[in-house]
Amino acid sequence: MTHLLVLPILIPLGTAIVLLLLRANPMGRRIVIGISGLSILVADIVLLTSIYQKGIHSYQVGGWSAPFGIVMVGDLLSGIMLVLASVISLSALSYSFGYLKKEAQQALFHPLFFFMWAGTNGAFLTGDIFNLFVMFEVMLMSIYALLVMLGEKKQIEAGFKLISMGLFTSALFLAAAGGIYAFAGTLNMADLALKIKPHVDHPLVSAIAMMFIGVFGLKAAMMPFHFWLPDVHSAAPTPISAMLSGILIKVGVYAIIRVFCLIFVDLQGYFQGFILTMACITMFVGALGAVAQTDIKRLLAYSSVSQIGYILMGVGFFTVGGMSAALFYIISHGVIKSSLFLAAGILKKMRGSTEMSDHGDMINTSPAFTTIFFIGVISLGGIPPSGGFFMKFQLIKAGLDGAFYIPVIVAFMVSLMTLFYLFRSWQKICLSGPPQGNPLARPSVKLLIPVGILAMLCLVLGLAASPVSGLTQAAAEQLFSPELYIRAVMGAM
Amino acid sequence: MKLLLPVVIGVLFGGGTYLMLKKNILKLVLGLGLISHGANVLLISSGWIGAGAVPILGQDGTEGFVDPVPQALVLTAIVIGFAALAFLLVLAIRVYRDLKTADISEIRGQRG
Amino acid sequence: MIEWIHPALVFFATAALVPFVKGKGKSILLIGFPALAFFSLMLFPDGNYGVFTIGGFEVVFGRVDKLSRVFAYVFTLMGSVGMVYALHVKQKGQHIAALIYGGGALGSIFAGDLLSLFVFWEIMAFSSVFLVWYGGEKSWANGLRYLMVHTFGGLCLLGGIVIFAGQTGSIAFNAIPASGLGGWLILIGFLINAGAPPLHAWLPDAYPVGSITGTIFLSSFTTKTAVYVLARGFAGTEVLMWVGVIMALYGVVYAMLENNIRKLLAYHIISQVGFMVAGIGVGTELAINGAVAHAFAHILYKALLMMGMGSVIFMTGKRKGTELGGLYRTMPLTFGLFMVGGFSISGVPFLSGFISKSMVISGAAAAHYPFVVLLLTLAAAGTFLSTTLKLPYAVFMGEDKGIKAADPPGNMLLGMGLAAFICILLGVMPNLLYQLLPFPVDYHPYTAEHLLGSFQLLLATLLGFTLFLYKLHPENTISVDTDWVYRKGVVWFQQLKNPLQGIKVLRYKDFLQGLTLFSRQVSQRIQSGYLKHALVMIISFVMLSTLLFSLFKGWTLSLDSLMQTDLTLSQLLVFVLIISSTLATVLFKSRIAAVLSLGMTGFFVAFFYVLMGAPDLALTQYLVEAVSVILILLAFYYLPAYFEEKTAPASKMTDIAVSLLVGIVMTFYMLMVMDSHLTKSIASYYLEMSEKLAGGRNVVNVVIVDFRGFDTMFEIAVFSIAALGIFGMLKLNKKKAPIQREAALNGSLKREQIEEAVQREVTSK
Repeated sequence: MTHLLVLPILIPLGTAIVLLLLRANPMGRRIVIGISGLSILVADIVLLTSIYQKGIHSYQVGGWSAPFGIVMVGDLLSGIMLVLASVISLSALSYSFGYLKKEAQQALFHPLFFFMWAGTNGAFLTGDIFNLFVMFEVMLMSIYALLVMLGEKKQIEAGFKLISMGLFTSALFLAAAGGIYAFAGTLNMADLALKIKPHVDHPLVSAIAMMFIGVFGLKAAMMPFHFWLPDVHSAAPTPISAMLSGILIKVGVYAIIRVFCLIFVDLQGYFQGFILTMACITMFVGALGAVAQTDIKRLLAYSSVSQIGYILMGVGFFTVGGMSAALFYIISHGVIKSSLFLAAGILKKMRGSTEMSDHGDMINTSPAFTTIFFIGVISLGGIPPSGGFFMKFQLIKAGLDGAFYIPVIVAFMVSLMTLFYLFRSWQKICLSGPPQGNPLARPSVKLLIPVGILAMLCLVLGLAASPVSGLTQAAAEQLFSPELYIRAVMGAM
Repeated sequence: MKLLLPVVIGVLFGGGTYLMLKKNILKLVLGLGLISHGANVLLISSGWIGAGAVPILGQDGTEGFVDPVPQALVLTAIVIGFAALAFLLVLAIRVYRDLKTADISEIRGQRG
Repeated sequence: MIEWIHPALVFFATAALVPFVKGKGKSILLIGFPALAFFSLMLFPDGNYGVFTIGGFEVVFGRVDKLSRVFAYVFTLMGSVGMVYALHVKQKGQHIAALIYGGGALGSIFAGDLLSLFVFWEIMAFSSVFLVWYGGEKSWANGLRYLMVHTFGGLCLLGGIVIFAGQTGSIAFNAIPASGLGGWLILIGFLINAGAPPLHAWLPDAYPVGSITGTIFLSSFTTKTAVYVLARGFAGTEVLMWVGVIMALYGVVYAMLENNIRKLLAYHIISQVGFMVAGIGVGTELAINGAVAHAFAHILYKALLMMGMGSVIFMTGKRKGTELGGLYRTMPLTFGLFMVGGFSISGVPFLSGFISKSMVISGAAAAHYPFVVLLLTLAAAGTFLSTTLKLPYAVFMGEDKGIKAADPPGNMLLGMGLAAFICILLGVMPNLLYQLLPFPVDYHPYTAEHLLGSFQLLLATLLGFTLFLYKLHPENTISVDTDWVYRKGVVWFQQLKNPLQGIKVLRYKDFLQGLTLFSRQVSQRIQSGYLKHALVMIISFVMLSTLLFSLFKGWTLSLDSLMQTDLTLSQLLVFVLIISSTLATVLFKSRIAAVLSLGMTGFFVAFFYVLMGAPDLALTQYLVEAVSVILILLAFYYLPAYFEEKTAPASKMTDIAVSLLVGIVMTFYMLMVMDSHLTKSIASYYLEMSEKLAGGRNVVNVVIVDFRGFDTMFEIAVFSIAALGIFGMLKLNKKKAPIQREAALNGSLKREQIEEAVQREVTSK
């Protein structure tokens, strides 16, 4: 299985093209989507197990050896992200059939979705900094297109803002890539790590590292790059909102982890204070925004900003414990937040609005919905025995172990605010009296099933916390021995 | 006068940013165009060690050529930049048509 | 063989079964299983059960010793009694919540380690809030606040546990020193659940609005679990003694001022828990025994009182003392049973309160804390005054308001009867309770001294009460406003109350509203909704920090290298042209001129590529630039004609400042880049290998299609996606015809994809 490493990129790319060809054949498209979606999941899982057993994989695209050709590298971090991406993508995909009513919409939506998936997986796997740029562009361009596809006013507006910010940071990415090539004469990340190591105190390296933080920070919605997120997440079609919160903003975090655990390993200390400060501010600003919201989708969007702060905090500790906690957080938050977004989409389908005041009495209308939403709420709030509890617990423990008291205190305060806004929203939507206007329609089962599956996963993550955290622990240990990665790519040196 | 090339890049980026911050939606597009020129110029200069020959091999050795890698990168960047610019342009038209304004300061999303 | 059945498990199992049973089966299940748990406790000897190792920590689910056993007895007992009282309730959710809550409490007291303690602690908090919420719509806000406070407590506890475990390396739950951040956080977490001022406000906030039957459970479990963990972890911590005294007095004072009958009892919980906390703080064997015994007795008589008041509310629907009166005729049994509870809490001999409360006070006396003794005695008198005299007077006696009522349904009476029976039983046979206590008891409540002392106290208080009434209302028609009399009598309390109320407001109720308001204002300021603000923030942030981070690394510019002139004339010319055409793009006031100068910039950039030895690139650039300019010119047709704009001077200053910043930083950045070619690049490899391995002489082309073919493949993907996106924007929302022409134009200018798409669209029509 030598080509295993490119399958998660090539299958979705191929699927996207096939789907374009099958424009006029809805049934055929469904079959293709089903088969290839599942096969991506299988490939990802096989890849992850293979990485877990045999160590880091590397694959030379076109047979050109590193650092001259482009290399795909799969370590545990990539493997975890891939599997998470496929789980969330599959839920969003199956949800999209019930969500997009018109065939014409689906015919465009699904190819773009698979392009996005290819770009995301490519970003997780690539070992080349310029190829990372290209993969980012694939992903971003698909997001732009998916975002404005349905042509609602809010979407056009949010999309325009996102693209303006995104194109500026794309230019910055090019500038940073140019700088790093001029400096080290190579583009392969493992090779860069080797070449930069002796010159790490050169000011240019810090400048490039900061540019990368900016570029990836925009994707990750780190404060102050988060401005696009509330508009975009609340305006986007629901499956895309779920994807954005569940996996796409994590791509930014992934890239930050990757560059700081590989290329700029020795700059970790230099940037630690900065990253932690930004993480705390992100956490706090996001939670403040969420408390202020009356619209459930926007509330969830702000909540994502806040949770990204938590993840960045775990990353910013730059300890194995912190990194492991951050990875666990990425996984659980991905699952939880996408299930909540999909649930919000059900509300939108029911009454055409996501304002919380337009909803109520879901406990009698749909006990299933109420339960699912409740699971999401307690998970995100970090109540045992859900997965959310372990994600917060590990993070806080890592912080205390490393004696980062101030971030931990901020995290404490913010998690209180988190509980407050979550429970208030749950209460308003599910417990308060029936809303004015037309009687509530029941949510369709078609939409409830993927949401329910994700909610179950939230609980499973809590019950199976120790194997999952074993995996993230191993991934974190791997990240803190970059020589493993370098050896896998460059061969014995 | 090594200073001049950085100044060129600074002017491209700075001028682009200035246009981006204006109100007219077309200016934002133009600004991003300038910025992407700046990024491309920066990228191609990253292989600059002075003058060199075009990297098309003749019979006599591999010395004296310029670095081919940045050229390949810039080519990719140009194409991607063009795709993005075209997309942005059509989106700008959509903004004008749907939101009935081409003034960015009137396109105001939800506060808070 | 099952070595031990965890009573919490029995409760959880019952909760799981409740949805499936009806009628009699439900009654048997609800009462039988907690009773089963009670008896199962007797079967197993002391020891540690259910020990697991999770993540290197030893987790003990069942630590059975005398201390945990006595609490388990009273909890399971209370579970049964409370269920009897709640049998008539139709909502199964209430039963489930109550059972999970009870299970959580049992789990907490059997937890031998801090981690499982925490988990059960949270289960308790999150199941009990439903008992509050079942009180009806009015209770939601209160429930939410209840939850927030408990979550905060839980977080303190968790933080404390993590720090403590980090320091000691063990999570075993034994005596915890009240020193260091970890110890204090744990203590605060416990005290929040105990309802210690100033962290008590959740209790009188939430309990009075909870469901009638739910409040019985609420008043039994949460605070008493806190008493247990304090006794386990912080026995003999002196600060607790004073906390307890303050609680005892504070609760009584507020109880006297309160009109809402259940709120009054809620304040009494604080006061009574204060006795227990004080006993734990004293820390002698006698005092701890007293605290535990008091907890045991208190659960039962407070439940009895709550049941009594609950029955009144259940039958009349009224909650205020001033609205009630004269019910002793219509609800005689309720009245009688309530008085048993009232006398118990006041410490009347031959009732359970006497044998436990006197024990706490004696414990303090034996340990030589005279002030504590004095203050606790004072609180005891106040308890008598408010619970046993004021409350029954207002509700059952006093002026008959003609409220139609009757004694509640049989199961409620039965529940109260059971509780009253146990109160009397323990009062008469104190050794039943004493033999359960953690330390050997050598204490006899019924000495002449104790009896006389308490009678004196009670009689004096009674006398004061009647005299007070008489003096203010000689005609004895005061039943309307009994509590108004109190307010008159203790005016200074009101003065005390107001500032305290101020603190309360500051503390939480409006705190949450305030938080919402504050959040709204702050985030509206941050997220103004303008693209420009976002861009200014993002751009200046990333530029400034890039500059600073490189400056802090000590970047210096070597002027010599800058001045080296290796620029050819043509290079110089191209640079000047690029700069001037860029400035022209920025400054031109006509849109056509601006677009054309953007095109010019592109052309000059292409010249630069030629100078850099990249003719292919230059060619592509020419092509792309031409197409771009045409596209933009086409777009003119769909965009408004105006181009020039008026900008406020301040706004203009911002624009200039930000763009200057960008320009300067990028200039410096490029200087750095040019200054630091450190290692030889990989280029030589391509130059050498291009022909040998890839068989191409044009090295750039070889790099594009072969060495970095993957990039190129995805570059095409980006292109297709953009085409698809444009197509989607135009096709899926077709309103105006002209735009379609645009699609066709765009399509013809691009690679095949969009042409195909458009054509297919045309044919599909």
